[in-house]
Parts: sequence; C-alpha cells; structure tokens
Amino acid sequence: MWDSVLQGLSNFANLYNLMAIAGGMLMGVVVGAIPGLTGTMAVALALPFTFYMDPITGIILLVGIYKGAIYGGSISAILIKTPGTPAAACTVLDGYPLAQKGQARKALDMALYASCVADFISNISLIFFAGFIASFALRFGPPEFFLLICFSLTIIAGVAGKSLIKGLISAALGLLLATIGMDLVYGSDRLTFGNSDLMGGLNFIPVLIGLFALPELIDAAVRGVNKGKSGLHRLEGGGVNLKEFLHSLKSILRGSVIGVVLGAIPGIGGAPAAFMSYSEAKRGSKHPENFGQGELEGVAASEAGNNGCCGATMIPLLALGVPGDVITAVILGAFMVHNLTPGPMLFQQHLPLVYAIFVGIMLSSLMMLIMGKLCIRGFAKIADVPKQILFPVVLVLCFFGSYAVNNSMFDVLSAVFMGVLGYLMLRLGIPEAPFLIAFILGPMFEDNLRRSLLLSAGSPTIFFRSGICIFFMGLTALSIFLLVRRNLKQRRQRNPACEMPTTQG
Amino acid sequence: MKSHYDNLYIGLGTALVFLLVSVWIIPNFILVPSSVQMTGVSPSFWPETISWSLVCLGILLAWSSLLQIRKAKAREARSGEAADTSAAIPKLSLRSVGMACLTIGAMLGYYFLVDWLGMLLSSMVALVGYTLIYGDWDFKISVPIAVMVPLVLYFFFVKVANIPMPPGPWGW
Repeated sequence: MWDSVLQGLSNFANLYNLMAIAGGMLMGVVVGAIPGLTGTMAVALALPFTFYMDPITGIILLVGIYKGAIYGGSISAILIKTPGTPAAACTVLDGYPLAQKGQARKALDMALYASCVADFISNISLIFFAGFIASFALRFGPPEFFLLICFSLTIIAGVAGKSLIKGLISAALGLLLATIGMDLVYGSDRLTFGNSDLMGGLNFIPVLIGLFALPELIDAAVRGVNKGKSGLHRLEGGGVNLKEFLHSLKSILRGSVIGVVLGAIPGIGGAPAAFMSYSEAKRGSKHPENFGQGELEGVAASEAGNNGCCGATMIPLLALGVPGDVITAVILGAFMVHNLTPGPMLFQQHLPLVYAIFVGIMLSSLMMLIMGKLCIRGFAKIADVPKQILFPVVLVLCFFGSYAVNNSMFDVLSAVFMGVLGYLMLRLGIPEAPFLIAFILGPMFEDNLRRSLLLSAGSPTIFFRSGICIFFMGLTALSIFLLVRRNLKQRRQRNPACEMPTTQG
Repeated sequence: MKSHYDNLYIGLGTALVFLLVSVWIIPNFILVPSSVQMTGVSPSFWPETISWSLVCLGILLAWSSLLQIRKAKAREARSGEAADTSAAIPKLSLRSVGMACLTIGAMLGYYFLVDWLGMLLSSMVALVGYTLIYGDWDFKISVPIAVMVPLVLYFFFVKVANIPMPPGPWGW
C-alpha cells in the first residue's frame, strides 16, 4: 500500500497539478459568486478542456471548480443577498444582515474559515471511508450492482424538487434517451432513425452542456437581463479574530459532521445540510434570538454544513461508481472520458491514481484558504459582473466545448436540442437534475440487469442470491417508502399555488 | 388550483406522447433479432418499460391534478368564491415568445454559420449577435470581447489541446 501512496505522491507532484487546483478553485469561486451561473454549469463547461490533460490533472481541476463554486456561493449571498448556489441560501440569513451592519469582511472571513475547516474534515472522511467501502464492493457481481444502482436511482427523489411525479418523468426521459444507439448485446439499432451519428448514442457532454447551460441563457434572454445596480455592499469592517473563530468552532465542527453524513448519502446535497447545521447551531446557542439578525455563528454553521458535503459526496462516487449529486455525476463523466471507471476496480487497478487524487483533494482545502485570503477583494467585485457580457461568452464556450468532445458538429446540434428541451422543462416546472442522473446511471442499470438475466438464464431469483442483494433491496424499499411518505406530507402542507416557476415573461 | 390545471395538461400530454412512442416508435425503430429468447434481454425491453412507465406517470400526474382540482372546487364552493381556472405557468408575452424564438433561432444560425465560416469567425459573429440580443452594446467593450474570446478559445483548442476546430473558407 505504501508503495502506491508514494507513487501517488510522485504522480501528483508536478506544477500542472498545483496549477489545476489553483485554477479550478479560482474558476469555481468566480462562477459560484455570480448569481445565475451554477457549479454544475462550470464543471460541465470545463469538462472539454480536460480531455487533453492527464487524468489526475483533469479530475483535480474539476474537483477544484466544484469546491470553489460551493464556497463562492457565499460571497454573493453575503454581499448582494443572492446566493450564488442553492447550498448558500442559508448563508443569506445572517450573512446579509452582517453586510448591512458594515461587517461584510467579517462575514466573508468566517464563511471562508468555516468552509476550509469543513472541507478538510470532509476530505479526511472521504479518504478514510472510500477505500473501506470499495474493498467491500469487490464482492459485487452484476445482480449486486444492479440493485445498488436501483438504490442510487432513488436519489432522484432528492433532486426532484417540489413534485416527485415530475421528477420521475424527468428521470424516465433521461433513461429513455440513454437507450439511443447500438444495442451492445445484439448489435441492433435502437431509436437511431437511420442516423449514423446516433449509433454511438447521445454523448454525455453535449447533453450536460445543453441541459445545464443553454436553458439559463435562453431564459435570461426571455426575462431580460437586469442592468440595474445589484446593491453590492462594500467590503468594509475588520476581519474575524481568533476569539470569534473559537466561539463558532463548535458549530463549525458540528456542521462539518452533519455535512459529511448528509453528503455521503446520495441525493441529499449541500442545502439541506446547511439548513440542518444552522438550526442545530441556533438550538445550541445561548442567544438564538440573534440568529437571522446578523449572527456570525450562523454564517459559520451554514457554510460548514454545505462545504462538509463536498468531500463526502465523492465517497459513493469513488467507492461504488455512483454519483452523490449532480456535480459528482459530471465528475463521473470526466472519469469515463479518461477510460477510468470509478468503483472498487479503480482501487484495484489504479491505486496510485486514487492516492494522487486524494492528495489533490486534501490540498484543495489549503488552496481554498490561500485563494480566499489573497483574492477576497477581487471576488467581492465578481458578483457585479454584467450578465449581458457574460452570457454570450458562455454560449460560445458551450459551442466550443460541445464540438471538442468528438470533433463533431452533430454534438453541437445535440447540445442545442437539449438546450431547447431543457428550456421547455424549465418552463413546465420539470427538474433537469433527475434527467442527468438517470441518463448517466441508465446504461449501467440496463447493462447489469441484462448481464444478471443472462447469467441466470432469465430467472429473477438471481436478484435474491446474496445478503448484499437483500440488503440493497431492503434499502431501496425503505428509501422509496420514506420518500413517498415525505412527499405526501409535503403535499398536504404545501400551498397549492406554489408548484410552478415564478418566471415572468 | 392554478398549477393543478397546468399539471393536468402536462400529465395528459406526457401520457399521449409516450403512448405514441410505445405503440409506434419503439416497435418500428428498435430492431429485435429473431435470436432473442428472453424478454428481459431483448433490445426493446428496457425502452418499452421506460416508455410505458412514462405513460403511467403522465396519467398519475393528470389523475392527482384532477383530484386536487376537485378538492379545490369543493373548497371554493363551500367558501362561495369563484373557482380560479387560470394557468399558474406564467404566460409569456408576445415579446417573450419572440425573444425565446430569436435566441433559439440564433443558436441554430450559429450552428449553420460554423459550417460556412468556421468556428472562429462564426463565434465572433455570434458574440456580437448575442450581445445585441442581451441588449447591451458598448463598442469599446463588446468588440474587443467578440474578437478576443473566440481567439483565445480557438488557440487553446487548436494549439494547446490539439483539437482541430472547423476551419472557415480561409483555412482558419
């Protein structure tokens, strides 16, 4: 093992990898700080740039963007009361009142420190648990993988938004589009309509770009880009001192643990972790009445909660090959682009690469601190970048990125088609995240189902062959039960008029 | 109430579209070899399963919306207020529909322009066009961006990443 660790270290130790972490973090923070641009969009747009890179460099770049975007979301949340990412929504509650009181610098400092500590703890948990789970997963055969993916597909409910049925429709649409192309078992065409470009199926990257970047651009053009002042608060006041940091440390550590636990469960994501961490901090505080009025501990708790998820969402990805959320689903695509399959075999066949990625991930926490301290003034101005200049640039980037996948204009057309579909989904209140997760997991699901049935000569009893199968079956049933119950409960409580997007034409 | 009517139409639309996919598109556009002996491993099994699931999900969405509408109507009858049957999906104004069509049309235009002018020049034209669509033309900012951004991207992909981009009539 130590040989692999040393080899991993030597694989990592070059200037390109350090630049990838720094560059990824910088890009992520910039994108995260701009409301309207999402971390998923940033990772999707950066993906084509990683094709020519070494796998370690490429993956570390994407992880840097991911983590940077989660932290960056807090900047606009604090300065303009607009969370750059959904995970930063909770940071608004106390961050913006602090900025109004002239303590924006203090709030941003606390967000940075809490993010770094939580990220570090999350990374440690990733390193500790991923290998352990992967070694267990070595015993998996096709039926076990099939049932694991069944369980993973229940994460769709976590990203389904307000309507579970619409989330399921979106997911089924993703599954159906993933079947396009040549059938791998019998070699027959499926839904290609005689088009040779469709024989290899729809490429993942144009689908991703089309679904997550283009609808936002169309919607911005339809709604009109706001050209008024954003109400950006100046970066004033002193920074956080040691006493204030230590006062919030308990909430940061608690939030980190909450983030790790919720992040490791596929489909939950940063926003619920941030809110849970915040409410726990409020409950444990001697002055709960200060929360919501500009309490520094509130900023610390919410940022610790959402950043605590970052490393943990990589646990199911690296150990089982199952994405923990939408961004890790994109990172899964990056592994595939480099002919690497995350999961137990990755730990068997490419252990030095895994260790090199771990080193990069650990360093990313430190890089976040360095970049945050050095560039905080610049970051603070990013939230004010005019969208009417930014959006056309993003569109051109989408075209270059889609084309670069296979040097094919058909991929560009696919991205445009997916963009139109994504915009329709946006208008009809159908979430796009379940589509993407299903599109990625669909082929694995079908492949393992068919391999299992071929192994058992068509007998479904193969899905009951081991304790692992029964375990995942039980887990899936439990997950579905809890999700349906939660959905019904929410439905009863919800105001019936709030199911649709509030976009104004 | 408003959103339930929208969901009813979305559900019915989904059910109808995927009924068509299930009964016409899949049988005609997925070739099932005669050697297939098990239904579960047939090339059409999984797409059929998903498509029929979509039909069921559409019906479920429509049905649950109908139930909600009925409940809302009963509530409104009790309270004596008139039922609100307007749609909750914000109606797009003619200008907004026009903007959506223009933006999507411009994307298709950009796509066809790449074939004619190559990636570099067409991206410059697209940047100018989209800056106008987003409505903030400032010569001093927009022109340098329209020239520099495609140049940097083109240089990166062609020279650094060795990915050839579609050339224009002048070979670049």
